[in-house]
Amino acid sequence: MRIGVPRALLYYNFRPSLEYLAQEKTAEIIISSATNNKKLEQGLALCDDEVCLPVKVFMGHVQSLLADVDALFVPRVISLEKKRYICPKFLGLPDMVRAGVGKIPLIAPAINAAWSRHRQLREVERSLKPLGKKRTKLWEALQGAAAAEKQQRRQLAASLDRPPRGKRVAVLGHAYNVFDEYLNFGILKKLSQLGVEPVTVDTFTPGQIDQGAVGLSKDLFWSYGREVVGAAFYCLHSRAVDGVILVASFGCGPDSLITEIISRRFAESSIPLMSIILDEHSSGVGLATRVEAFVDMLNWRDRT
Amino acid sequence: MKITFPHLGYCSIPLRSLLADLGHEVIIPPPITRKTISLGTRHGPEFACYPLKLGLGNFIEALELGADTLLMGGGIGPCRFGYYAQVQRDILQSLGYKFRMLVVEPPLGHARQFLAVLREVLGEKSWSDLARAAHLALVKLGACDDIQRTSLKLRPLAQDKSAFSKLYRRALEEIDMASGVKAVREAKARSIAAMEAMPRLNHKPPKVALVGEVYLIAEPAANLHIEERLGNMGVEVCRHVWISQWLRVNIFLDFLRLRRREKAEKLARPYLQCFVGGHGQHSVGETRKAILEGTDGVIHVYPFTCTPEIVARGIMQKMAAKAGMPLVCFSMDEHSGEAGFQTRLEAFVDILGMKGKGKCHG
Repeated sequence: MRIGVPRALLYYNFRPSLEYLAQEKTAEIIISSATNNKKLEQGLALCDDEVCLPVKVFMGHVQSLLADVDALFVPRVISLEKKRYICPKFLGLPDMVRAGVGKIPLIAPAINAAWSRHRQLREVERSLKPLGKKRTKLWEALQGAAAAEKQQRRQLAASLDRPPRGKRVAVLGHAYNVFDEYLNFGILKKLSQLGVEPVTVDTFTPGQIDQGAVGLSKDLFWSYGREVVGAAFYCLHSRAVDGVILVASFGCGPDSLITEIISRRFAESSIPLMSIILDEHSSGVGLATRVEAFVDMLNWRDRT
Repeated sequence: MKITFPHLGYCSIPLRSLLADLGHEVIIPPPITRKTISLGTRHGPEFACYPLKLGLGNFIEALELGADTLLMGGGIGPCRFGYYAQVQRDILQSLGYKFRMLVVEPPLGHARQFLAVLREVLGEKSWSDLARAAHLALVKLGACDDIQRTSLKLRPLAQDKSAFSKLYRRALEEIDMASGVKAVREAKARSIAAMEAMPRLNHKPPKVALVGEVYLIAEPAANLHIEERLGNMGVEVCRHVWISQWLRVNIFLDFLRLRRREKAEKLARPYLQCFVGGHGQHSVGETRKAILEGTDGVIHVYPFTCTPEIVARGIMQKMAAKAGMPLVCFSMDEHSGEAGFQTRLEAFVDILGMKGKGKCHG
């Protein structure tokens, strides 16, 4: 049984474990290739026009996988931490896929941190039944994936403490906006080319994010949104970066408020902040100009 | 304490009654106008949804009238409404207003904050005063809902629509004036009887289900008076989102841990298995109900960029297309124009008429 994993949305948050599982071959896993124009076009055709760009791209990836796989892996992620959700669209994602491309077998475990460990394991087991693998075999694979995830975290977490080579800019936003090079026109690469070291949300340790999030008047109930705010506020206290770029997709509910909260706080500080909104009408040239101007400004600040 | 709160349709009637009975001076924000909308849009975050901007506009106008305490709802996600109070407070503070904000968090899970706000509002009054005031407020809310329900049924039948509107407005005023539970019940019965006694047209109105996000359904200024417009076109609107019922299910029953899956949620499950925040799952469930019951059409209203309703919308469109059910979606924000809205509604009602004829002639 071949299982398709769309290279979109939460793939970017769980990249190490998904890559590990694909290599490890307990099951035959096919991860779709990088986002391209064709996938975006297909996604646009399949989706309602008001959903956000990352979902449109996700549907494009789903469509591109359909011919080669027997089932799709589209988890229903309700909550990853107690008392916190992620964006509401993930709660309905399997239903959106069904409405978009019709009946295809889905491996759609619900993930809910409010459940007991036992109930969560039962749910995962139920959803993986079509694979026809032994429980111990699945368990081993999942353990390996968790280890891969942990290792990656450890590697990244150290990088913020190292002294920067040149300027350092935090590129903050949902992982699917920050790491999909097609969506954001390679903003990370562009920064590196300009001699700036980009850091992303995953280079901040959970402790640093908690430290930053203390500045919130009410705990943010979106896990990823809270990470972005925590990281941004941490940058403000620790002065670990020279500038911050916020990357959000047009119409994103959580980001509409997060951008507001962060930019209000940054307006009173001396760290420059730029907010970039992505949608299918964005132009790479315009974005490059803005990023170059931002970096120029950072460099000029030293001279004056 | 000069207390104010954002508008939500006729909810200012029970809220005013509740707070006034507890001995507060209540400042009701001026009715939502172009000015409210532009104040909210100018100072609110560009991509936040319409309810945040309108609420912000209400607060600014009320603060200008001298309010010093703002009452606002909270939430625990995933709908972003739960964070609006904090964002609105930051914005209003940066505009230089001096005020206190009381955020009513859901009692389940935030019991401490809920009680703190309750004590604040209670002031010197006793718990039995609160119980009496809350009872009257709830009776008023129920009466308003009943009057609205009756008007949805009878407006399409009324011969003189403007006389009907006058009667409806007076009915709400009478509820607002009534000073006791008995007076409210009498005023309600009188108004409903008067509505029923109005000369009627002899036609069977087509039925349309109005589904979507609760604020957009309950606030006529936000939905451009969609219920009144449809009624005046001779269309009967069925709606299942009522504030009184919403309070019962999501606050009382939830708090007592007695909340069970509602019918609309059960109906939605084959298409949208799980709660997606806001009223997304209800919208899907009610669309399915409309299809099963043979309602003539479905109208979906929600604020632009409302993620839960957008998730629902994609699914609803597939369902409706399969069942041949006319469906129109209105995503509303400060740019919604009345003329375009009226044209789209009229076109939709025409389609309902054609569909009916198609049935008659086979």
